[in-house]
Amino acid sequence: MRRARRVLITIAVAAFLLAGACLVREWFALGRVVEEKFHRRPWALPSRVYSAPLVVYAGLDLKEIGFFERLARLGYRRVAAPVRFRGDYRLDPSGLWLDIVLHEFSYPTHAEVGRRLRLFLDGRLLRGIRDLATGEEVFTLEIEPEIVTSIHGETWEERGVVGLGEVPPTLIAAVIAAEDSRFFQHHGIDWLAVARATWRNLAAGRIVQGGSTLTQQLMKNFYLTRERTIGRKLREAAMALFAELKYSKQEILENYLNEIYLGQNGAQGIFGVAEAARFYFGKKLADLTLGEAALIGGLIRAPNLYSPFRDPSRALARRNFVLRRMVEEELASAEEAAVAEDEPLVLRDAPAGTNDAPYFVDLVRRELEERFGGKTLAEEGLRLFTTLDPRLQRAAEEAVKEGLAELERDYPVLRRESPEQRLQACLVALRPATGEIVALVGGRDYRISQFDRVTQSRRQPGSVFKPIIYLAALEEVQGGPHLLPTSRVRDEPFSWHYDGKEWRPANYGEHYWGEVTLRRALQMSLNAATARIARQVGIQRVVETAHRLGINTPLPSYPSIVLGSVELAPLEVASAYSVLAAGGVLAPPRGLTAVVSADGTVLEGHPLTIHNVVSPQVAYLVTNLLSGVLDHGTGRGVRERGFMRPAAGKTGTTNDYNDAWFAGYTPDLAAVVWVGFDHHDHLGLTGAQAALPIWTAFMLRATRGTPPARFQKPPGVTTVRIDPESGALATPRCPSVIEEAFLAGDEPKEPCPLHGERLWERVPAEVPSPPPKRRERAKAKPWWFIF
Amino acid sequence: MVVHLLNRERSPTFRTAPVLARSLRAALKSQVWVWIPAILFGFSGCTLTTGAPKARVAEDAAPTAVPRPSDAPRERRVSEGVVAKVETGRLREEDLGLEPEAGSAEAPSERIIVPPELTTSHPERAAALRLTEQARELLVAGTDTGRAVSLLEQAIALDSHTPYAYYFLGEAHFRLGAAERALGFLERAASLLDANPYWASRVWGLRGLIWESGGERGQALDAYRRALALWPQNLTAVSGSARLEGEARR
Repeated sequence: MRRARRVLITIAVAAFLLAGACLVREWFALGRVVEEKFHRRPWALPSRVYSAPLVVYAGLDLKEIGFFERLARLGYRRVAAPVRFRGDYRLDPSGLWLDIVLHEFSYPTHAEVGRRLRLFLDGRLLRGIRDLATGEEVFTLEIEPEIVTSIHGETWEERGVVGLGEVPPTLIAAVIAAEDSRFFQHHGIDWLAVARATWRNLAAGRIVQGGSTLTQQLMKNFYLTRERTIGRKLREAAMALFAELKYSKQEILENYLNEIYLGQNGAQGIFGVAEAARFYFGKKLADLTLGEAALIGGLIRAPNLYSPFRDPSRALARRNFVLRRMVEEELASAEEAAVAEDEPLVLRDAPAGTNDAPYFVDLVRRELEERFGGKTLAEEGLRLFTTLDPRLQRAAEEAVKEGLAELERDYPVLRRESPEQRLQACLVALRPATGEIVALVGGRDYRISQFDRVTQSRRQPGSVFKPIIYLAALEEVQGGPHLLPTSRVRDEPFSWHYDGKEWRPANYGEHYWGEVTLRRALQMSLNAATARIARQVGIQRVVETAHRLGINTPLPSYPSIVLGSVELAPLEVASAYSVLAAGGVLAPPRGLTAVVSADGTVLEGHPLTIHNVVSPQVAYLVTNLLSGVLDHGTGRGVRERGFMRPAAGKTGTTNDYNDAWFAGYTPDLAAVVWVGFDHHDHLGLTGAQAALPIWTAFMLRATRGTPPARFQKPPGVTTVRIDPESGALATPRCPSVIEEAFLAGDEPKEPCPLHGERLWERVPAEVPSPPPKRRERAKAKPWWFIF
Repeated sequence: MVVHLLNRERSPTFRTAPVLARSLRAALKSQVWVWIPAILFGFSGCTLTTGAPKARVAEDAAPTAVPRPSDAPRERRVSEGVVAKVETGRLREEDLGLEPEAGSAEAPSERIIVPPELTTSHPERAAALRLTEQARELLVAGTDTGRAVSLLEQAIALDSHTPYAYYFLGEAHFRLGAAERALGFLERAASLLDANPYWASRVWGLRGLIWESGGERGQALDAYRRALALWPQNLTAVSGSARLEGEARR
């Protein structure tokens, strides 16, 4: 008996020791988890992709350039009272000025500190800007970039990380009052709260109250799963105890405030109080009022239930409850709480949860993944500054979407059942002088196909390639002969023999026009005439010119390339047209301007680089010819659709009618549109029918509110009035007269031989400047002249 | 204190003494070609405007009177330190893409002043020129070349025909050690400023410096000589050519 008892005691002691050893082992294992979470960077911070800032200056139409929409998307709040906080703006009832306090923002090269500015208005026009603090005039104002999207890893989280010192005491008080009023008294587990919660839950017969401390909640968040078992609860409790032994209350609180889940924006979770302040109020933490702090504190219990976007009245009731708790816990005075309870709920406009430029972001991501790796992008909190203009991007998205819908409505044969096989289009827009990609739509629907047709696809460009031939033809090569816009070329069928082969270029509809000028050949997109010009210029020069313009795809030396038989990426086409728009300067296309680390170090700068690849004079001549395409040629649909700004462009259709293009530009914006099927199905439409309407719709929207710019005639170019038929100086008898640009010295000297050449009938060759206005004439005279 | 020579009609004040003082200061501080026109302009009673400091606007208080649109700030503010240059500074209208005004002076411009009417007629051009001027000031101060580059790129994005922006981008990138990139901008600047001997000379002078720093002395000397042919007072070219010719003699 005694022996049995001894054995039992031995077994019990052994079991106890074993259990103790297991517990100790488990304790240290959990401790390691806690240490790991605390010591290494506890959060995977997504990289943020920023758009370009909005540059505002006197003379702009604020409404048309989307100024107020931009403010709304950035979380600026329109207030009725004088502006006080960063992000407030107030339009004076007189409509003569607008006061605004800018957000703080750290740019790669400088910082915006949150200036208080007054914008003087004249109707919708901005007249001037003044800094209200210094009284100084501000000539240009940058409204900070928008976050286009964030680049995430497996978990799609939006999180802003702050130190405890950056969190206002009112918010800390609100969180403690709402979630764990004895936080500074307990050691990880609040036994009193546990007992109280147990009692209430038993009384109610269901779970109505939790007893978790902030530390326990933090431990719970360290797990990715939401398992609810006794074992899990015990492990969380053990970890909470360990954390309290190992770390200070301040460290735990800081982790908690950055870790806690506070809402949902589409598929993205909102984590941390800093992100919540930005998401709900468009504010930095320091700018939160007591009421707003209480609302955030109240959200922790059930962020989606109490979301002010979902149910403002419930959110207000919860806020007021938290305020009362703060008074009970003596964390706020009754007077302060009463004032806060009267605060109206001023939220930012509900932010869009989607990425507006998915193809553009993919382009940036692909470029950066090569250098930084996907993990760094998803976890290191990089700030990626890009060239994207959100307003233009939206204009591009709308133009493509509406244009394709219109085509399918007008041509039912283009409709397809399968989403993967539907008609596709892409659009890319660049700032010609800087190469900045301001808008990029890589396809019809990113959710269906992530294939970016702007940069990843190669399609035959058809006639949009032709301006390269004309450019090569107009260029002087070492003072050698070159063609003029008025040079005549035969538009007739012919055979081009090369390498023992024969190629016969044919016109659209087999219509030939006989002898035509270069201008007419390009305006009417005549294949035979263009091929003759190319033969005269030489294929090698055409290829070399194309490469100079930024076309990097290898081009073979066979004749059909002159009619666009080699497949090119739309971005290459856009680059080539940008050179013409920028007066002969190639600024290689770029989507990124800078990459900045989470601590503000500029890791990469992508400054503007330019190459002077074509003389400004020849670029102007080609632009002048391409303007004619829009005014009188295959691109006149642009004018018919109401786009009347100075512009140049070219339609493109492939021989098999599978690809439709339109490439065109104004002096400050170049855009290319492609329409077709991914699997080379027959489209059966020309560029003018399919791509031109999308291009025009985009340009109409994109240029709204901005002053029209005209193409600058460089020195060394002479403009004269000529008869388009003969190419000679116009006489009054000429039935039509156009202004033609020539390299200085190339202009015709003789009057039109077809329509009279009597001396007294000649019109002035040089285009006269308009007479000075009456006021200017008066000003030119000295004041005493009137006597 | 604000001085502006272009805005003759709107001058609310006409004071000769400050002009004299400024002209004398200019004479002391600047080259001869800078101060002679300053005095001439000063005495011809051109324009001295809005000398009074701007009233500070109370930050929070709503204004007591409704300001007229004309109360909007105008582009007349310049800092004290560059008075001499301001007084001689004048953009040529053709540089701005405008028709030249009859009888316009052709004094060279150091500081870029934007004629007020440009804000109405070509707002993007006016904004681009102001950004260029901001960047030029940063380059003169030598404090923040990176920011200057950013401002100049913005200027070109607004108006790609801002010739000075290309010139100063060339200067900025040269300072940052990107000589090849700088030469690209200078080539563009040269094509836009071809008709302006002062600026064309500056472009050649800077090209000379870049080539000289890259060890291409023959090319540099040629650039300096071209600069001097266009504008004999170009100090960069004077010193550069003297330096290289001296070296050649040694």
